Amino acid sequence: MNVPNSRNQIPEGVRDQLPREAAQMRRLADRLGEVFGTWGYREVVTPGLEYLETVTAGAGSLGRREDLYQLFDRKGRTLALRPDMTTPIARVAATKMAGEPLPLRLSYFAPVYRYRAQKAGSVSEIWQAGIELIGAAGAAADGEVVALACGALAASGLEGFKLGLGHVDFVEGIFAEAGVDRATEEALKEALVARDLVAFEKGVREAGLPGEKAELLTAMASFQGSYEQAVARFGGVGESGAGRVVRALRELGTMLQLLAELGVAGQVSLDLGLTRSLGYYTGVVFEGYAPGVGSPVLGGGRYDNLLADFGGRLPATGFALELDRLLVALERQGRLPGAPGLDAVVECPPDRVGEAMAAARELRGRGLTVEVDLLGRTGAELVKYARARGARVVSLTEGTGGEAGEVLEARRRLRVAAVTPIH
Amino acid sequence: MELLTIAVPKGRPYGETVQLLRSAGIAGPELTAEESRALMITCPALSTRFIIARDSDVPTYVEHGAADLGIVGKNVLMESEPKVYELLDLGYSACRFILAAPAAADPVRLLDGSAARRVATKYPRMTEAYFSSRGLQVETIFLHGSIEVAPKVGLADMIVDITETGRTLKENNLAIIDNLWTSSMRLIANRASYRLKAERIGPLVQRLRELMAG
Repeated sequence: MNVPNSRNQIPEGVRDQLPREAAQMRRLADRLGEVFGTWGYREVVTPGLEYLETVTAGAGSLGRREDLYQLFDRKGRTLALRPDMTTPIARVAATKMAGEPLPLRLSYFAPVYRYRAQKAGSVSEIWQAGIELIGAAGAAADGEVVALACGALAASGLEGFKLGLGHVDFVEGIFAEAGVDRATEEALKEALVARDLVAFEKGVREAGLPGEKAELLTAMASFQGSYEQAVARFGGVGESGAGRVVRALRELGTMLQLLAELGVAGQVSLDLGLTRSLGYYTGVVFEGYAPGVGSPVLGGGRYDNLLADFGGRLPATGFALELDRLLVALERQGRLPGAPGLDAVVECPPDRVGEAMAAARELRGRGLTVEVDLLGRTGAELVKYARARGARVVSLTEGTGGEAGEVLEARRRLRVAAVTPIH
Repeated sequence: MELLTIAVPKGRPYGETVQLLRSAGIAGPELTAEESRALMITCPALSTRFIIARDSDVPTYVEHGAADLGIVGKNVLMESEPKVYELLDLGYSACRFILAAPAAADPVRLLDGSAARRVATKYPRMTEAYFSSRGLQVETIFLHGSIEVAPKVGLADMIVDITETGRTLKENNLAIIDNLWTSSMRLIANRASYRLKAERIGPLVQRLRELMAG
């Protein structure tokens, strides 16, 4: 047979979710959606396809255009598969929901698409769940979003996670203070995104800055410590940086205070060199890490200028959870929700289909998950199938008696002749 | 104290790596100066564990969190671009990426771009990056080792390889056409461990820094 090779295959970077994985993804998304819901966030669904101009809004956000999947509609306009959810939601918020009372609290569960160089474990179809809080600025709004991020991770069942907290103005202020030229700054930021501290320090050395300024940059890049330590090290910086550094620190301090009051301070730490690859962030930024997973399971931050690109002019903040990575982390901790099981398979001889289906309906009415065996199997063959599905057989014919709790009771009620327990 | 797992490479840099880890107080006598057959060694008193791995596997262990930290050459990192943090240039095992050809060959003709030349290498990605940055098209031939023999047996016109002293090149009658990049050993960290075990990794980086400074 000459079947074309690609017919049975799927493109690189995407994958099928078989029932077990699909159920795990669904359960996780439901759990997160529930948390978002109780905080007042309402779900929106936006199209997978957008105009190229839409997804590239936000001053070169996702700067790398070659990461986009692009295609043409029938009028020759360029479309793109959305590379993130924040931009489409900003579009919706600034246009179709412009008249709604503020702030807008919106949530989503959807895949986004970014081309990734193919290596083990890298996917191009990325399932995300997240929220956007639009129309509220300030530490309270930032605090809500970070607290919700902690709440969402906790609700997923994940243990031992940590959120790193940074601020775009802090990094920008330090760069301004150090007085490096534009090209050097770009190169250094690239190193900072990858947290390539060797390249960063080399870049700083080669920039030929005075020792004190060079020291300031490297201290920012590798800073790990408490708020007090941050203030001690950077609190005096910024007379020439127009106080950006100090203001950013103060904002982070207010937030940490708030998060301490909410009892999540232990899950949050300062990460002052944190620089996210998306270009639209303007304030507090954060990433969430799980033990054993090399990439962040959560990322977000404030983006006060993005809505202006859609005519909105509203401050906004939000985050996205990377569900595939989160599932990996949960699996490592043995905390994946089990797939919902099948309780029973009803035997269904060809001449008693109606009876079998009625029995199944009755059992479902009591909250059991029940299948009717459409292949007409009996005896050992049916038992084998049921065992493979982790279920019990409900037999309509007289046979060996069973003693299986609910299913046995079903027999009595339904006058089903016999119940064969499998376990 | 929380256990810290560090992947270290077998082979040439092993001895110097052990020496460094010991003087930094990260490794105890369990990590012997001579490579043993053990692939995993624990130092209970210091709460550290070492995975002894092939150098090209070190970034994989770290990227996927099997190790919190790793020590590996920049040459390996450049070729595989793992999602890890590069924390420190440890300086030793310094070497250069070079482009070399038989001493008798005319380098100008080899790089005139008129015909696709064959280049043997252990570093196909870096090789392609180098030639495409020069606007030259070459055919890259991937080999696992003994790269310097490839021109002699007619497998390739040139090689891209790393060299410390250039001796092997001379022995094989090869001349350096171009120096591409330099490499040395690096300390890398798993991106989650960098945050989750900050209180262990931070002081360790500091100690290594001090050791190297003086």
